[in-house]
Amino acid sequence: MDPIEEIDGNSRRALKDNTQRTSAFLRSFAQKAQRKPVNEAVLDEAQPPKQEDSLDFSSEFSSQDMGLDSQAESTDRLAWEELLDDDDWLEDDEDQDEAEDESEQQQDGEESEAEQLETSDALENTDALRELARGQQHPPMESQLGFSWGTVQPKSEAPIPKKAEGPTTEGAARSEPEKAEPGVSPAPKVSLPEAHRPSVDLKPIVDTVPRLRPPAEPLAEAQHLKAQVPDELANLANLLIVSEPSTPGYSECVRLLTRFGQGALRLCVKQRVQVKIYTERDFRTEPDLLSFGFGADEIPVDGAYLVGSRTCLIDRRCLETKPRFFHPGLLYLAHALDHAQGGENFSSRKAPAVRACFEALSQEDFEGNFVDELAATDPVRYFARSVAVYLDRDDCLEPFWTHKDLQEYDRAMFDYLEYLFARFSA
Amino acid sequence: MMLYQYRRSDKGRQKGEFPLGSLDWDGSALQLKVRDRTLRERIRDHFQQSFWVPLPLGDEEHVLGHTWEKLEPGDEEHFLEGVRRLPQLEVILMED
Repeated sequence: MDPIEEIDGNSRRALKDNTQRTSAFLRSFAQKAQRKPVNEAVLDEAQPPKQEDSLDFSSEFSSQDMGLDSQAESTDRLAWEELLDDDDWLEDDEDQDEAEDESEQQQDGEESEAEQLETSDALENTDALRELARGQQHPPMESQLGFSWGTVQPKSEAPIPKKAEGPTTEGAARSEPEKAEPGVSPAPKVSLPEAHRPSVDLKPIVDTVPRLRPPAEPLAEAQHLKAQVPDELANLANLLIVSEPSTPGYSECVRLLTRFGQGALRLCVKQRVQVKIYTERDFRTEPDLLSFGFGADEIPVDGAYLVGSRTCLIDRRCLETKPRFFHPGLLYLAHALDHAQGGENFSSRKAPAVRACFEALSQEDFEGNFVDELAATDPVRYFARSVAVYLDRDDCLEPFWTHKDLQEYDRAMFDYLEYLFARFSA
Repeated sequence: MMLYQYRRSDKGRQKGEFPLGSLDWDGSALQLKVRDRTLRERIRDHFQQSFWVPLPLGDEEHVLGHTWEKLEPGDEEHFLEGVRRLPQLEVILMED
């Protein structure tokens, strides 16, 4: 046999049994309700009137389970068994049902007449009891709640509570939106930091006092570009430098750029890094620097890196002379490389090696672990400063640290830079 | 605070085992106690020179730059900067 048909048959059989039981039970309940003496409340007047709960079948089940020997219950049980055996009533044959009902009515004719008389008396008694009970009823719920049921009134007709005059509380002031005059847009509440607020007019700084910087010495005439730099690297460096080749310090800038290697320069070209050679006056008139709100004594000295435009600004004097402590050209080109390597952000921000080195040095229990104050600021500056030290080749008069000092004082960072630039050159 | 040698080794620079002397700032002058005369003179000369300190400008979101500040001898800031640069003399200063 098909298991599906078997399951279907079983389920249909179970459904049929349930239907039989339910209908038989309802029928027996109706019969019993007719036979039940309804004047029990009249006999016991002292007891309060008890409402009949049609959903309370507990007495039925208990009497059936307990097997009480009353005449009515025995007839109910017989009717139940007869109904279970008889399947004809399931076949929607109304004529047969009507005939059976008629025969039953004829058989029970005498009993029904007597019962009707009893029920009419019982109903009269129950009406009397209800009238007695009305005197003890609670007042209606509407009067208790203080309103009457009815249609919902429109809101406009409801009285609007007046606002309390005088100073309002802070919470109320927050909840109410500010009223704006017609035609006038509300002023923005967001206030930018003063340093990053765009100035209305970017006036150049006319301060003629030169910025304080360590003294430097003129460069020796040892920089012969073609003798020191391969053509491939020089071409890549030329792609990065935006300034004219005739600008003083251009050849020195090319020489510094080639220190980074071919791979690093290609990465910078790919990320559209720009290098500009500026005079001190150009720093004072640079719109990007002025838009950040730098004052006359806050303009960067020797160089800067504009993060948004990936632009290195290098002071021309650093390329024409020999800097004293470190070369800003190497420092800001290292920032550009770091930015190009990281994509949107600086790679040193998320590089675990750089962060670990920075934190290890920060936790040293003596001063002088960082090369200088710049390196101790954050991992980004620490990386750039370390790169500048790593690529330094006698470019400064009195370097804080030399290439060898980095190896001795910060061995972990030195090893990381060795690996990094070996990868670039590969 | 005690001065220690900051000597070279295979694993980079390492602190020496024994203290070389003591160095303190009493609010107005340098208190230096070192038995080695040469080292004492070198440290004294070190703290008598002025220091150029690069100071960071800007932030990582907009612009990165720096400026310079010159520290003259005679104040605590100069003393602290001199302590930071003591490794150049192959000594370091640590608490007792």
